This record gives sequence, C-alpha cells and structure tokens, in this order.
Amino acid sequence: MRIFALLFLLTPLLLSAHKVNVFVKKEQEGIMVKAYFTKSSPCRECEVNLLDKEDKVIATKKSDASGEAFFELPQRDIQSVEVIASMGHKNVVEFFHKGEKKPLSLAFRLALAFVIFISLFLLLYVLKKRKK
Amino acid sequence: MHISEGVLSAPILIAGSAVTLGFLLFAFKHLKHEEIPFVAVFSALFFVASFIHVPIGPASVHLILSGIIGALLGIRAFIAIFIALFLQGLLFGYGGITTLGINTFNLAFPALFASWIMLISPSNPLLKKVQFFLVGFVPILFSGFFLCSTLALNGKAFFSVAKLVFASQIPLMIIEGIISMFALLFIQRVYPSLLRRKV
Repeated sequence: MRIFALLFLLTPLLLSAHKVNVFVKKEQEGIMVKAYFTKSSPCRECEVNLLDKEDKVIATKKSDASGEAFFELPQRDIQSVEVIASMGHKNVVEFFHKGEKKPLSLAFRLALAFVIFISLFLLLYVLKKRKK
Repeated sequence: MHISEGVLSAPILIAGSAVTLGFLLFAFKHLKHEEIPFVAVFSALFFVASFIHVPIGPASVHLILSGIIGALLGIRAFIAIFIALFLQGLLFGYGGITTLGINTFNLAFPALFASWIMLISPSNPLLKKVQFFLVGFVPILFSGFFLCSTLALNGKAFFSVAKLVFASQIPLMIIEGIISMFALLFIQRVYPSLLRRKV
C-alpha cells in the first residue's frame, strides 16, 4: 500500500519528465531553439515549427542529437515556436520581439481582478461605515 | 454588448459618463452598509457571466445576466455592473476605460426595467413564469436598443453595424429570458424572501 502511495506521490515528477521544455533565443544570424525533456535528456529528432500569427508554419526542422534546431531569420514575423516530440508530447512557446511587452497571463489577470474587486468593495464598505 | 475604445465620439463618451456618474452617486447614496456583500456577489456574477460564451451558428454571444442583477439589486445594479465593467476593461480588454460610462449606462439602466417587472405580482403560475422570462428578456432587448442607438448617434457609417448588432442580440434575449426564468423560479422555491426585498 505504501509503495502505491509513494508511486502516486511521484506521479507529477514522472509526468514532468515527459514534458517538453522549449528554450528559444533570437540571435543576429537566426533563431536557436533548444528542446529537452530533462537536462540530461534532449528532445532528439523532434519536429520544430516556427508559427505566424495565424498559426501557419513559417519554417520547420528536426532537432539534432542535442535537441537543438537553428533557423535563419524568416521574412515573416514569428508568433510562436512549436515543438512536437514522439508519443504526442508537444509544447508551444510564445515568441516576443525585443521591446515588445509580454501580456499578463490569464491566471495573473484573474488573481489581480480578484484583489482589485475585493479592495473596491472593502473601500465601499469603509466609506459607508464611516457615513453611518 | 461592450463598445470598445476609439469607436465613439467624445460628446457621446462624455454624456454617457456624466449620466452614469449621476446614477452611480444616487445608487451609492441609497446603498446600505449591510447590502455591500450582496452587491459584490452580483458584481462577481456579472463579471464571470461575460466569460461564458454561447455558440450561435458561426458566431457566439456571451451571457450578461443584467436582468437577474437588476431584479434583485434595483438601482444598486449600477454599482455592481460598473465595477465589473471596470475590471473587464482594465484587465481583459472587454470594452475600455473611456467607454466605461456609456457601457455601464447601456447595461445597467435597462436592468432597472427588470426591477420594475418584479413589482408585478401575478397569481397564475404560468404568468409568473412569463414574468421571470421577461426579467431576463427585456433588459437585453433595451440594452441592444441603447447599444444600437449609441452606434447610430456616432454617425451614419455605423447604421448597418447597429442593425447587425441588434440582430445578433435576439438569440441572447431568449437565452437570458430562459436562464432568468429558471434562476428566479429556483430562488422563489428556496429563498422567496430574496424576491420580496424592496429594491
């Protein structure tokens, strides 16, 4: 029973071991994409796609033995980089140009909305209490 | 239902903000200390409802629920809707800050019609269902009308858009009517005193 419980606790670690991590770097000559499952396990022969705003593939390549793929700078603007590994594992990372502001994540905006919401009604509460 | 920034002319924006400010001050004056959590709950309901999209054909509409909010809050609906719209405009790009006044008016003023509909007390159960249906239906009908009028006032170029916007709201009126009917029938069964509150 304890072994099953331990395995259950380790499940998230096992799952994250299969998560494709993607690192993208824009250089003067082009775009370097590095994909890996864990630091010691690069994503070999994985399909790497550069996508535009409409999610259309601009360029595609297979990663090398170290999980890296290098692209020359495409003419169209890149919106995201997609890495597809075997067994249906996939990850998409948004690509941001220098000077471009990264939008806030949905979870962060919802949390912020919750905080502002509570603050505004607390303010109303205080104002009404003072009037009383 | 949310008009985005940069669409309306300055006189419409100023007039909308001024009228909404007047209603907000009036609502704030009549707001009781113990009613604030109640208003907050309905403000949260309005905020969340806008994220629920109902697919209709190739397009989709989102819920508003201004009828239920107006029926239960009365004039206080202005505060609930204003705060929810403020957060939507600030963080999610629904509407905007400059259009906050006119958007609040277009949604909160018709919500008052729902509180007036609730003043009628039909004895027939079928008529009661019709009344609860109208609580959801009428505010969306008038919100659509106000929205179209705002767009039409902005210039002749917006006439065709206004007609299209109104047509797209017709299914939403029916959906909101049905949702309001079931929601209010449920409230009537489990918490009838809520419907008898003086708003």
